[in-house]
Amino acid sequence: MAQDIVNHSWFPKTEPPLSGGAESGTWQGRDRQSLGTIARSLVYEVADAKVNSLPSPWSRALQFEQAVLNTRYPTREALLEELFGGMACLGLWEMFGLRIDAQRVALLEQMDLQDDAVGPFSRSLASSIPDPSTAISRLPENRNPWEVIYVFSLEGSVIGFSSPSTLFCPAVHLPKPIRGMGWSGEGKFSSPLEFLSTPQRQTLADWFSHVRNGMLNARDLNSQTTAGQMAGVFDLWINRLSGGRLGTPTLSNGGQIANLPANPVAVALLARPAKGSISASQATLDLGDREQVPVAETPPVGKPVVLVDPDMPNKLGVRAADICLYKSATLEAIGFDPAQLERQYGQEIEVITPDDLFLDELYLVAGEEALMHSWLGSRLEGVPLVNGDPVTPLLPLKPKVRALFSSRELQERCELRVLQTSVSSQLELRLSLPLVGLRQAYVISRTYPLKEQNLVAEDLPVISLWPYVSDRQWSLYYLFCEDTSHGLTVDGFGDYDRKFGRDGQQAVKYFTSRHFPDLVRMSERGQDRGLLPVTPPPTRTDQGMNWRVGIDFGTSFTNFFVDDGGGPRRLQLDTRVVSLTLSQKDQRQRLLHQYFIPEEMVPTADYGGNPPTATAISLRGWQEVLGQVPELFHEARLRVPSPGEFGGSELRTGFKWEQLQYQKPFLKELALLISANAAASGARDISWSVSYPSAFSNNELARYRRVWTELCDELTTLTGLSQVLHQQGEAGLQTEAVAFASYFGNHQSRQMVHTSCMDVGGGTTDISIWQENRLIHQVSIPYAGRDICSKLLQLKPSFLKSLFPPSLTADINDDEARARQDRNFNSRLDNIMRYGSSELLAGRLDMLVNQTSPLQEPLQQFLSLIAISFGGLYHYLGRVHQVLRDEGKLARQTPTPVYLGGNGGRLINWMDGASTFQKGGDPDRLMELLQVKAAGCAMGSGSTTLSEAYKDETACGLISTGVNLKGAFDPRDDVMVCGANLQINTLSFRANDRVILPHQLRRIESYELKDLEAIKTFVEDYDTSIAELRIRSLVPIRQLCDLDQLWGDLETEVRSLCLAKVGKEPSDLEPEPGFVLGLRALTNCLGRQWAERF
Amino acid sequence: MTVDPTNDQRPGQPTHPPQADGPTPAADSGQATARPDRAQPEGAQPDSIDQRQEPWTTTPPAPAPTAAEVPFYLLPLAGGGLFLGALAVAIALITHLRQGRINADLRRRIQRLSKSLEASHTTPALTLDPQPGAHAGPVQQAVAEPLAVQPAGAPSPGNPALPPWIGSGDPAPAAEAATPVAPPTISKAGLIQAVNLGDRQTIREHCSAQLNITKDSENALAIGRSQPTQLEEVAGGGSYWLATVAGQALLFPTDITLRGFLSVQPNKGLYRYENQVISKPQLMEPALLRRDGDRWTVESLGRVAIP
Repeated sequence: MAQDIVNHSWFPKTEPPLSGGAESGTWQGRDRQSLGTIARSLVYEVADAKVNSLPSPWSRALQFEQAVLNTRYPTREALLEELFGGMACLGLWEMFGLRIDAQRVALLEQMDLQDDAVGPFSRSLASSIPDPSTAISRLPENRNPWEVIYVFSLEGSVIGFSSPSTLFCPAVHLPKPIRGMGWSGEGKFSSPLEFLSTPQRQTLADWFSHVRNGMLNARDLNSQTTAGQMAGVFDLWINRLSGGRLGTPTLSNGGQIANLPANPVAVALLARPAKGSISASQATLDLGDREQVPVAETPPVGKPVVLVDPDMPNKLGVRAADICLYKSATLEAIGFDPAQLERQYGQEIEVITPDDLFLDELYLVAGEEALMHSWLGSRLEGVPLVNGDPVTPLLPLKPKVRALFSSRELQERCELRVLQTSVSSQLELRLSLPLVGLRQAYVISRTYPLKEQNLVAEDLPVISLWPYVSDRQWSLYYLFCEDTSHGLTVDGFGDYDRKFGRDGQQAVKYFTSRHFPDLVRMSERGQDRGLLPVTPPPTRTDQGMNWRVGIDFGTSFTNFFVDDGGGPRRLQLDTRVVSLTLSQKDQRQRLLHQYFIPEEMVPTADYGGNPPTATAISLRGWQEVLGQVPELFHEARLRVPSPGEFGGSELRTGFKWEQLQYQKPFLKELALLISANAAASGARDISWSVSYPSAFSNNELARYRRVWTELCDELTTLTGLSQVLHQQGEAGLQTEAVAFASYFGNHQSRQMVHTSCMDVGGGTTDISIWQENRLIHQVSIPYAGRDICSKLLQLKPSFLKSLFPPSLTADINDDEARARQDRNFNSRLDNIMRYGSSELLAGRLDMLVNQTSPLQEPLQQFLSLIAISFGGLYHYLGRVHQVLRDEGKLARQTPTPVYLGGNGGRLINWMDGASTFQKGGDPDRLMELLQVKAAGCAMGSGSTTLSEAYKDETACGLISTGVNLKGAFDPRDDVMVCGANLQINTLSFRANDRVILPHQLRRIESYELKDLEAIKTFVEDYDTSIAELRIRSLVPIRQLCDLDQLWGDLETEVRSLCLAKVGKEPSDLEPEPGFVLGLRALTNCLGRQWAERF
Repeated sequence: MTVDPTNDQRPGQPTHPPQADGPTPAADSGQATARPDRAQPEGAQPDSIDQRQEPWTTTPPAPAPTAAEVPFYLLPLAGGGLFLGALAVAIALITHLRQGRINADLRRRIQRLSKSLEASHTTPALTLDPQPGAHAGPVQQAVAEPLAVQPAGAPSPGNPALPPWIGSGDPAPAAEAATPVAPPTISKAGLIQAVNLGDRQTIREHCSAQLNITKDSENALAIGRSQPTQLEEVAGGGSYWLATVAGQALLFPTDITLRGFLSVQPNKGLYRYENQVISKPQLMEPALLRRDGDRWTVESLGRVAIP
């Protein structure tokens, strides 16, 4: 401390420099001439200063004293300006984010030091100590106030010391300017006026007033003259600062110069600086969208974002001192240094600079308008070229921008312009920032040269976003892109979640965000390359609609109908996937199909439409863990197979009945796609009506119900829409049989007076029987399209290929064994049938049947086998009727008219010679007669009406209202009719019995058809009916096989099918009437013989 | 615009001499798709294809060179008669332009030779081919069948925007477009080789349009309807490109499309796939197209070898 005193410039400099004594701290006597020499060589910063006093160790302090006391003192003006600056520093240091320390120097204590410098120097000072009479304060015991002074230092540099006569004596030389205090820039203090904003001036004036009054009213006041003169000086300053206006002085609460004593008062008054008044910031960003819907990095409400741009004075046309950044901090006060503002108010505000917003370089992608669903092109003036080729710039803004502005705002605030010079092309980005309190936006800009080496993507990566729905109506968003370690790709933000998918060389990644990803962060090799701004989706204002959705989750295809208030309708899904780069289309489609969501659900409405959509899922990119439910989308996603690109080992189908772990991701994606359409159209609520086959075992049903309950919860979270399971039927689920009937009864307003409905799907046939609009029986039997047709064709792929064009069957393996092992064969075939049936039935089938060719006979027999299957279903229907009549539930003694539909139901067309099922035609009459024979009833009107909306019936029926169909729709109250003599464990059921399994039954120990009587009866009835009706187009069963051999084969087949049920728990047992088991065995045997015959 | 480092310009000269306000000599248009060394007229608007194919008289007039920009040996003329001066400037600029393009042409040839040389070292897969004849065929053809590439007359004028990865070609001065000079000779096999080697430079030079399958065809394919696939020209994002060789419109897959066949071989009615012992998909034969109005219809399928 003592050393500081020695090193400090107590004296003005001399020119030429005069050397001191040989020993520092030693006081040497000199003659008057020498002193005159010194006086003449003293250098005062004021050029016209005159020296009229002799220097003493206290000369600096005494000069200021004279300047205060003597209005005619030659250098008074300059000295008071310096004192003004110094006092301003003491008053404003806290407002400027600075820190002042004070060190006590007691001369009498230093005098005793026996060192070579401090002691002697102190003694020297003490020996010429100024007269205390002019001191403002007096000390107790008449001690001289000059004996103790306080040295003020700021950030390590001494700025002056306390003076008993002028309160403060500024240092002769300031080694460096004080940050933010421009009046300290010339090596000494000067007037602070031009460096202070108006509020700062007022604050300082008030502080001066506080010090002035404190000084005058001090209890230890010594020289009233000095105090009065000093007060006059204060008044002078106050007048200059505020024109004499004074407010209430506010002193700092926390900031105080340590080490300053309470006495004398004149010193104590310097301890507390002024507290800055809070001025309106002129540099605070007006956060619009992000304030309303903040992203993770958005500063919290109440934490302003303050822009510090050194160019502000030029742009705004005001002094830096008048640009208030935050509270009392002006641009001047922080010395144009954002770090200073950060240090000063970092806890309260976020400081940004243009460098925080602009990237250092501009990066480009090849091609003109290479970005899609982006407004960037519309804000670009001119075409940027590199080597003569058009390129598209990425928005050269840093990721931080996302925290502050939405894409919508940037769209309004960004302008890009190509600047062409004779030697180079540049691109200028102007960004208009909204600053609070400024009427006009504050524009910052940056100009970038267009560099070939900054062309980051010749082949644009696939980048897609889902769903394209405003985040006012949606919750979770996915951003999908190719993943590459070396090329252009997407990088996430702090609030993004990231997942990967990889298959061989192909890697993709999925980001999820709770905000619409309106600004996509592009990176290359881990380095930011700019932002890809997305044009925000429109926000619907007409919100509040309720959507009802009926979902028919089928074995082969899943269908849905939507009622958005205008009645049930099939909805061609808009996937609401948007791709953000003009990547190569095939590549984009391939990746989206394989790993994400296609841009378009094919076929489009003009080509048949989608839905129904294949019940298929792709696991590409996921290392399957058996039994584990895969997560959407990175592990599994809905697949839309097409005949030309069906899928391979990654494809999973048939999970309605097995591999149930795939149900959830499939249904979840479908529900999300529907929800996205609902949200985009303004819906806020969705209620789901879901069907299920009553052939589901209890466990399957419980699981399916759980899937949907969980889904509704998840969907609510993921979408932001209210999602509930519509409370109908059994706990929100409706049987397919009832839903199917609802289509005819409610949607088509058909009377269900004495009616049967048969929904022949892919895996089950759902039957319901109605009387006077009341349900009297329903049953779901696991025998449908796949049993009727698919299994036969799987046995004979070459036959399949002869029926359909190669464009549909190209990927069907010729090898029968391999075709049988193809686990997706059924789904593959269902697609072929879906798209190929119309053309086949339009004439080709008729031609093949009637034209002599090697195909003619196998085809006739194949069609006969289809007829047998349908005949079996009608036969069983007749048996059920008989039981219902016996039970007194069915009144009329005539066969019921039948409504037939479902995806498998359309196969009945194949049986007709005209390839179109006709009322009164041979197949119709055959089915009616079989119904009559099985039921043992009288002939009557039992004709079949074929649905005109295959596969739509159930989905539509689920949300149709109209005729009030009545009855107990819970299938648990309705037990299936056996149809054949069946024994389960020790329980025997006759053909007309209902198969009621007691609760006590724990395990299926044995399961067998006791005889083949029911099947034999059916075979007899079938052949007889064909004969009676003289149907020539269908071959009787006895001509399709050797009957004697058939019964033997049938017994074996039946035993095999029964064995498959042994060992199961009853809750896992899918209900299957005994007759249907026998029918399956029969068609299996006949099918095998047919396949072997040709 | 970057400066071509190979351009041996004199210091003080403009980086790219302004276009002469008149027809460029025929030799200059030898490369219709010449690359960076080509001059971009100062103040010229973005080089749309339309503009490039406008008659040369519509080319924006080049600004007159300042005295500082005129080569020193022309300075005496600059002070002489206006006509003589202008003529001299034009001759100097044309000479300069020609030199630049010759350099570019030489560079491209060197690149191609390097590619070929590289190919001879980097295609071990060919030696693994169980049917070397079939595979090597196209390569041999490259030598044995030097068919001249016809001017890509098939695409409609002004329509074929070239893909970014191919580039829009050069801002070819109209005078060049009007100059009846044959483009470099290349055979179908040469193009096949370029595709298989990923030689973008050669592809750039010969691609006349980028194509995608039409939406109608995509739908037809989705439902397995048997009909020839149709394609349409697109401004960007094309998965295929068109080149006309010996009057035949040929359809080539882009590098990305070809590589995509490794994971999926879609039945899009464009190519047949043949399994071979190779490491990556290789184009064996481009599909042959027929023009149908503003669309292209596949006349015969191409062939792609897949591992």
